[in-house]
Amino acid sequence: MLRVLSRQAFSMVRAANFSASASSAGGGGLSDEVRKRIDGIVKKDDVVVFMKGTQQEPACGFSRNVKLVLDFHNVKFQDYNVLTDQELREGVKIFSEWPTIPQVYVKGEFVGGCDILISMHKDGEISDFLDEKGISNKYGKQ
Amino acid sequence: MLRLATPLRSGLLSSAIRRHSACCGGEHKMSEAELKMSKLLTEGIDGCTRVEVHDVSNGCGSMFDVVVEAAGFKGKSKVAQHKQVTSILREQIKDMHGLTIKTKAA
Repeated sequence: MLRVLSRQAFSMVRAANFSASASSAGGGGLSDEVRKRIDGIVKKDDVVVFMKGTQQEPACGFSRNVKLVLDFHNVKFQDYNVLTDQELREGVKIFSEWPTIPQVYVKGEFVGGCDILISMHKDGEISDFLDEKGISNKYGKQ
Repeated sequence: MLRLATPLRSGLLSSAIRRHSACCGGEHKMSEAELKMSKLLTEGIDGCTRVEVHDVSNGCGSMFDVVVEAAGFKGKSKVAQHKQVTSILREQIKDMHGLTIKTKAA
């Protein structure tokens, strides 16, 4: 049930942000300073999520769904609230070449947004992926 | 919960109806937009075994579901698969209100 609702709503967000991202990318892309900043952030912690709101208080359904999936699998993550940081909000979209928020990074690698995380969760491949990356998780082998 | 229940139910119903009307067998004729996107995806991705493009906005051309299964996706992460799809449909996406993508390595 939640899946249908969030899926539809997610679509709306996705397209809107994609347009914004396209135009901002046309403006010359990411400055070295911002790129370094983001690169440092995604490598500082094993699992990083750029989201709207915080993991204690997500401000949108998709950020909340990402948190729910990660919490379900007992994955600890560091959150960054893009609503309080416009530079991050636009910067990560260019950095990952992915048009929407939330965005999930594991060991410095961009893994996907809300729809991909839910897809991995439903397909049952998220545990294998996390094990492969050396991340402790509920259904993992470690 | 009561607040959630109502929009959830109506969302599900309208979603089911939309999907059904878009998928009705022989009666359904693909819209120009659906045909164009299907063609772009089939041409742009190696080894496509399944390409489905559904206008889920009842013909308004603003909301689409895309499903792609291809041999060319083997070994690629889901992110890479989705990026390939969004890259190919970049121009079409600009005019869309929403889009959902589902990909699978065939």
